[in-house]
Amino acid sequence: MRLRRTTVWACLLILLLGCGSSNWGTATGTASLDGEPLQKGTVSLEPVDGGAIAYATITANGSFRVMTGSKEGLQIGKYKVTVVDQTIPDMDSNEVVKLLTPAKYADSATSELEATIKPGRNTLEFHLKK
Amino acid sequence: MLLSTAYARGRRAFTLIELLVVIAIAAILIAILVPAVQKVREAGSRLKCINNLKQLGLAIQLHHDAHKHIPESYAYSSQGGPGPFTGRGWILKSLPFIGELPLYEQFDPTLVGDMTAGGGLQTPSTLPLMKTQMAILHCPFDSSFSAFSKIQNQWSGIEVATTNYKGVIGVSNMGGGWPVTPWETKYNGGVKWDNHGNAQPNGMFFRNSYQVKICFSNITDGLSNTFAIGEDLPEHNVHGAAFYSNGDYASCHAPLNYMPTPPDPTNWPKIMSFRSRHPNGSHFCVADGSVRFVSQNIDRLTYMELCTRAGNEAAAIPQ
Repeated sequence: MRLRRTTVWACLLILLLGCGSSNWGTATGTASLDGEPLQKGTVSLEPVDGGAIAYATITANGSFRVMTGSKEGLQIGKYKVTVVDQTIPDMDSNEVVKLLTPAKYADSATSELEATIKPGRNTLEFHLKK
Repeated sequence: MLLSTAYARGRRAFTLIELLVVIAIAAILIAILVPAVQKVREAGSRLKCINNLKQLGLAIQLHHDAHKHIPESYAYSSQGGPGPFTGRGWILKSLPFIGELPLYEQFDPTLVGDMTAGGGLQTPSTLPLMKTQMAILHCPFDSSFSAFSKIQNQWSGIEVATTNYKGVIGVSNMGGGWPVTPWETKYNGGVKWDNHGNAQPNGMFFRNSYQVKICFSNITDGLSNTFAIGEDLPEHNVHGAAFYSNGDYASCHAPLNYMPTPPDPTNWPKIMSFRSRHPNGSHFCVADGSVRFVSQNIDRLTYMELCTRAGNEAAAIPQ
């Protein structure tokens, strides 16, 4: 009986250790402009030390879920964040997109929004001001 | 006589336990075999996709042998170029080199006139040809493939064949759709760089490439360090008409495998990029003709540097 219990604990320990060494985290959150949730747009997370860019699509109530490519979540570490909602110009003209959110948040050099991703679940809040 | 002796000696039926044991063994065998079969099928599909890219890469090489430049595209309207504005794309120009010379010759008489004035690819007699769906342009991983053929940009309401494979335009930030990229930070003074509408893109395939006629000696980053063709999904991007110069290219400005949920297929500044249903990455045909799997976790700057043909970046494809 004691042997069996030891075995069970050993298995649990191995499982826990297996999860411990993760460099991956998931992140969900909300984005707002002057207190109003954004209806659409994109959150881009650029790793400070280089690597893959992660992104999230903002849905109707301002909430979003971060992805890297086709996989949910992103690598742990520090990120510079941009939040952008913009128009879709006519492709036949030479127009470019027009921002619907303040320009400051559309460039990681000026946006001042940051995120630090830890293993496991992360919650992000980005409150934009005009 | 013999039969009845056998019955008398042995048992007449299986017991419940025996039946359960047999079922259990069968269940275990199925549990082992079914995933193995699925894995083999998946490997087969991946091989088919790689083979498609390889064939298209070979077509580029053969076109270069025959014409001294890679297959070029013709824009659909004047954008600073002299024309003709037939809308002919590089895939159409490659048809003779993937064993589709008869199809190419059917297109050939109509490759005159402006597309926007009902000539070129939109010549009425050409429209049925535009529907020719080709296996070589379809990745088996994309099950939604043919369902999006009537909503292609500039082909609204007209049924056209779509493609899973797109030429690499370079790092053009389509309409300024993405925030300033690391490539723009490093090589363009932190200013957005968009040249998709003219003859300046820094990749191998774009709709005005007839003005440049790129040859291998122009690819100074090295043929083995330059992406030529990548994967895309019509479900996520309505710029996918197979034979059309505005449907056969994509940019590396967005992250690889960018898949907004729900899909946003008409948002061209954001989505004219590369993506596939292969787990965690996408295949690229390299200018040297090899096909490589690229992880979607690739460093973004490296990814963008690999998409330019003459950027002097010295980027190599990660192993």
